[in-house]
Amino acid sequence: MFHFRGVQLLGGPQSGFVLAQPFFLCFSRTSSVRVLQPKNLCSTCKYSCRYIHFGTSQRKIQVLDRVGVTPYSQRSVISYNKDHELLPHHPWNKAVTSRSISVAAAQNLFWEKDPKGGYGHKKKHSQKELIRDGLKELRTELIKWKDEVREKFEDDPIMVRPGDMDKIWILNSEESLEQWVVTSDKDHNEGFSSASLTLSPTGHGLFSGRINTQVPKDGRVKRAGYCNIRTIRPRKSFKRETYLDWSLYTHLELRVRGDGRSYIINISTAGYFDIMWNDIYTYALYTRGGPHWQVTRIPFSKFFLNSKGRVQDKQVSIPRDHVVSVGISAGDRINAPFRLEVDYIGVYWDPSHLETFAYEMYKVPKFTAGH
Amino acid sequence: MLRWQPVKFVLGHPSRGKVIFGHPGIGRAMLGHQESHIAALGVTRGFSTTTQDSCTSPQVQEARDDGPAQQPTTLKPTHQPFVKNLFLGKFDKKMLTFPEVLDRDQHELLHEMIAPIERFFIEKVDGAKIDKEASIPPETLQGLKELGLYGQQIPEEYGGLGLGATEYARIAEILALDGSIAVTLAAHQAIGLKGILITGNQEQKKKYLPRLACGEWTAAFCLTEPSSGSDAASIQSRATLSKDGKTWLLNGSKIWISNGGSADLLTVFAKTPEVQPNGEVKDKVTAFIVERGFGGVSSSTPEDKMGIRGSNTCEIHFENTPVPIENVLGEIGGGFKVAMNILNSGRFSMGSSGAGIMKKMIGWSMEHAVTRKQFGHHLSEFALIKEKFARMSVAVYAMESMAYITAGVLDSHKNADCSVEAAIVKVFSSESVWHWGSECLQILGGMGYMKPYPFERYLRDARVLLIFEGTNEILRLFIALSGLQHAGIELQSLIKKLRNPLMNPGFILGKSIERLRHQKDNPKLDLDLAGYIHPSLKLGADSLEYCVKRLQYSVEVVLARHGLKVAEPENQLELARLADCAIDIYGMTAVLSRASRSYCIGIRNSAHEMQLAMMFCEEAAARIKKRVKDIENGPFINSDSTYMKIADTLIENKGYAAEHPLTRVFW
Amino acid sequence: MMASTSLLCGRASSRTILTFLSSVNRTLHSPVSTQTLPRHIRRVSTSSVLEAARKEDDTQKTSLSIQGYFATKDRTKETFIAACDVFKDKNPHLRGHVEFVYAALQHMEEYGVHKDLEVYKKLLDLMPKGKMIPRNVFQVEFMHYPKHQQCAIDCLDQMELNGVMPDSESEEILMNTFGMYSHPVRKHRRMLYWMPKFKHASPWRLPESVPNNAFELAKLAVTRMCTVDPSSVISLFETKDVEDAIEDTWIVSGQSPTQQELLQNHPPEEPIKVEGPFRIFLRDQCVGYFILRAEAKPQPPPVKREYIDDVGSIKLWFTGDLEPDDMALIKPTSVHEQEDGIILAICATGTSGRDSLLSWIRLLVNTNPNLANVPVLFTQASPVGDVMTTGQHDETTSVKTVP
Repeated sequence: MFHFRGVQLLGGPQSGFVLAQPFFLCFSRTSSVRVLQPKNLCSTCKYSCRYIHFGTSQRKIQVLDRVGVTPYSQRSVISYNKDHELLPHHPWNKAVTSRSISVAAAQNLFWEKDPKGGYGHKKKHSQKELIRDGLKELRTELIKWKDEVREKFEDDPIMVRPGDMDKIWILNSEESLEQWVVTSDKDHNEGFSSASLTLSPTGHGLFSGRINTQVPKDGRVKRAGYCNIRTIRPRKSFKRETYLDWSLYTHLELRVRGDGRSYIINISTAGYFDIMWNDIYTYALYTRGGPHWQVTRIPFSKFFLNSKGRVQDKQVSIPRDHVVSVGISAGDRINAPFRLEVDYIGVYWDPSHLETFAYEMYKVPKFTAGH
Repeated sequence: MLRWQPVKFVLGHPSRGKVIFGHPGIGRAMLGHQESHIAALGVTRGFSTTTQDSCTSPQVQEARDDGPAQQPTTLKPTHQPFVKNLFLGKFDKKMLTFPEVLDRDQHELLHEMIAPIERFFIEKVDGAKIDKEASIPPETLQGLKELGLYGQQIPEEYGGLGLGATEYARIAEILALDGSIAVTLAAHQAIGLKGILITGNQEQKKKYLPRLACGEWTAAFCLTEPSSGSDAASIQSRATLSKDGKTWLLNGSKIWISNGGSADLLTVFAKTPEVQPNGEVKDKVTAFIVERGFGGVSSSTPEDKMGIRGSNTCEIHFENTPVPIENVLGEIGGGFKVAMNILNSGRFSMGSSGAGIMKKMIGWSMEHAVTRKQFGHHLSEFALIKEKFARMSVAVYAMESMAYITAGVLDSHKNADCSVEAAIVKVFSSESVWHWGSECLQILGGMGYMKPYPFERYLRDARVLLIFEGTNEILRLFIALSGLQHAGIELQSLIKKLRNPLMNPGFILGKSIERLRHQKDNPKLDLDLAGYIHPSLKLGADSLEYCVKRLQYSVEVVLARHGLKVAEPENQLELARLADCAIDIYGMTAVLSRASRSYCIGIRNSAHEMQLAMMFCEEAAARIKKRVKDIENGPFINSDSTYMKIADTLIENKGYAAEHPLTRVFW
Repeated sequence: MMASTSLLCGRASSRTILTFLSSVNRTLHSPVSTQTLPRHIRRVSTSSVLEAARKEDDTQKTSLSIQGYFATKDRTKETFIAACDVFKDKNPHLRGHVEFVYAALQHMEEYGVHKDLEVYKKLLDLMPKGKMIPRNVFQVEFMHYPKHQQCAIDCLDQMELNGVMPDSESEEILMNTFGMYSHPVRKHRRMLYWMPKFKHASPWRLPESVPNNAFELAKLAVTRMCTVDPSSVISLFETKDVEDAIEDTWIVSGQSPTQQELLQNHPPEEPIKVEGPFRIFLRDQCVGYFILRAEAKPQPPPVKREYIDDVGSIKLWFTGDLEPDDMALIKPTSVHEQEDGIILAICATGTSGRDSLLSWIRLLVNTNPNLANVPVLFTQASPVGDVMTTGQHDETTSVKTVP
């Protein structure tokens, strides 16, 4: 019925998006984009990464090379001429990185170097700049810290009663919109979609733009067309990273008014450990369309695990006490404008919802599931 | 040179043969071992990958044994009677895999068949007219014949549709839209000609089935007599062999025979004298195929009934009707078994036809509730109305699941003994339809009570479901006693010792230690049923296990308490409790397996199905808990003996025994 | 020999082969130098090259035909399947099947079969059975026949992106081709785990393939939007039924008794607006719809806590204590009364033109007599959504999705 036309994985979780369709599977050989940079190639065994599929294939490539069979690599390097025709590809004229078969998201070797998976820009600041800016913010941070200390000693813990819904993000002012980051594939030169997060005429957050499935002709990208919004990570005073604790709640509730298209909700739970930096829990947001608002409640048990856009074989339920950010992505591969008005995103407790995880698991032959 | 394994055989299993395993979602779940926690490599059509690996579950063993796909599709595995084994505490975990019987072509064919039938019922069947005039117009009957509905289960070689149990049940759902038509067709094929299908020899089949399939002749089932309704063995019609030994002369009268007035072929049961080995002559029941054309067959005017008024029900008298000896169905003296087989085989479709009626009524009631406004709110906003709908929905879900799981088992196994399961489906469905149909009428309010609307007609038609094809009370006894009989064989020695406690003190001591947990209502749950269905249904699975263990315990209690006298009339209340427990357990199994399958394969509204299943399990478990407690407590604490005393007073008084409240003794 | 090099060249199209062959022709007289040729053809000997050159004409036909298979004018499912059959006939040993499959995958959309499972199965069936099944653990580990496995994976890829769910037969094909432990089979199984779970996950039902016909789409769209209120009634009108109607088109209108009541109680001085067209997407098709909207009424103040806490004064409706005015406090606001307006009706018309909307209003007056007294405005800007401009409207209704 509703098939996701999500864009294939396009690299890391920089904006918290899951670009793959929810059922687009985690096998690395099925990716579309060659994000592999020459420097990522390594001839040593890359077997140990948790979600690696690429690693094993890389090793296999080495072996194949020795055997003398040309590894297949056509898909990843496709050159276009002006008329969108496929040029004949000369295997022996390949670029440096032509040996691999699998073209997954940048899967790193022993460790994830970059929390943004290669998509961020590291700005260089001088020490003087950093100290100057830091001192400017010192006052506000101290006030925040004082509030936190007071809260710790004076306030009672939050009591959640059955049927309570607590709004976490209410998009009703410019200030509230500053908590969100908007990205699209155009920002990474991987497409031509545009998106924006503004205030709608009725005073709610409006995520709108246009999904453009046209693929840029840079030889790397095979499929394109995604836009996302994502909340910024909660921080305590002095910019300390913290988590949202939703362990007392069972559902994620959103009041939205969409245009009939399906969107993807991603909840990121990136933590301290690098292999979990790209853990995103995903589910679909189906919109009715029309002039009426809809309240969608999605149980946390329905969110499934992705990493860098790949649905994982070993599924776990979302660690609700460890939530970092929530994002909404538009990527259903329909080349048309989209419009999603969001009133609030909150969490809800339904005591009669006893399900812990909706995806059953099976015993399969050894070494066939992801490892 | 190429030594590739012929993997085809594991995958290309015949559709009917490995149905229970061969399911994308559930076949895998059979292994169910969650400790591995390795997700997401769905195995289609079961277990092909896993058979070659570490699995040790018996189901998979069986799959391996079944061999290459080149075997004919008629090879089916055998099936142990599920409910009978429940009385022993043995739970067949294969039942937690909802059967998928129809392959793609059969499924498409079935749905192509359904569309014209539905259209026929909507356009050409005027239920109100049939009810008012108490007869089905011949054009309607002709239409049914043209749709092939007169020969649904007759094999294609004789001109019928050759449908299996599942397809038959599906079509019964639609036929239920008009009760009279449903009963007419059921009387014709589910009981009337079933005898020939099951027990007939080739000549009889060749002679009669083609005409019955196309509807040229209608069949009827003649068993009930004025003096014997439920007690089929006490019929008084007699058949005597003529002097030349070539014909039987049939004498007797039968009452309340559906299709009696219009039937051309009757399956008649009569007593025939049989010489026993010790020289005694005993009367045994024999089944005969009697054509109206044989002469001496007369039927009276049709009876005027409360419901199913369009169905022709009348008395039939036989006066020296000559029946050739070729027309004896089965063996001489084996008629009782034939009758029981016939009745057992048709019962399960009542579940799906009941579900058909109820779904229709729920649709009407919901439309009414959503549009009608009282006190400024729609009826659908009131909690009392919502509760009715919710409970109704749970009951219908259970009915459907039980009917189709039984049909699936019948279709996918060879000679499966589903007599108890079919009885369970019949009891549950008939009572649910009557009760919840009445609640639908309640929601509809005054409109539900008015003759111009169809609602009351459905309720009237549904009342007979509790009476015919075996009254519900008899079926409860049948369920309980079949189970006890089956359990008794294994528990024979155990029960003997339990009934003689003073002679077996050591054993009793050991047994009471074993039973300590049961006496605290906390049996050990060791069946691991939760591993065979979706983890979100774990609570339901645990309730089911609890109920199975408690049933086993209560069986021991009942047998130990009464011994062989368990079948006596005065002990029926305990048997009824056991039967109700069995009904609830079977219901729980059916809903859990169906909900688990739906959730795993992503059927629409599967989360809703999970809720329905969990509600049914919760309520059923609560009911079973109380019943087992009542059995344990015995007749004095659970008020059985008091009720018996009250009933005895009424019998003495030939009616209500309390004096009128206005009676005065003195002024 | 030449054909085998075409195999080894991977997805080199026939034109590559052609250039190669012509270059071979040119260098026929000089010994083939190992530096100029790619590694994998290093061991080509002069004599075999000569031989191949002699046989050039025959091999040209077979190697050119990969492009030629999909060059027909008539692009339908039958011709696509015919192309596959022709390939099979011409190549009983299935040479170049990988290239063929890739070419076929590319051309599928032109032939309109990109969502057809049967065709995918036919393509997967082109792989030779049995030959590529690994026979020991090493072969399993090192992706036995990687190119072919990758080809199958790409085929499954395309299936997934087009939302085509595989079935047990395709698994059988893949198992017989690659064996149980191969990557295509594993991907297939993952597809069969995840795809069914999401196929029917949307609360709003849409048919398997959304119709192309605007009228059917409009009906689906309006039904979908009116699911908000279960008592909504969808009406189909023709502008022909309205006198003085200029346009001749259909109108699909949705309104519920609650909305009719709201319209009935609407004060005649306040104007109501017809706004639109807004976009609603039904899978990949877009429909423009209009709404009839009144300005939002202020929310009644919430009932005071003290009032609710006082249980000494419970009023019952069946004793007549509760006056209709009191009930207004407890009376719930319907789902149509939103903070940005009261939605009174929804419609979609064939032309989305001003005149059809006028006809719609006139037709609505039959069921809402009060509408005749209320001034109706046709506005462009709306708080409810982005109004599609005419240019946009055309563009989006003719949107072609990239599969």
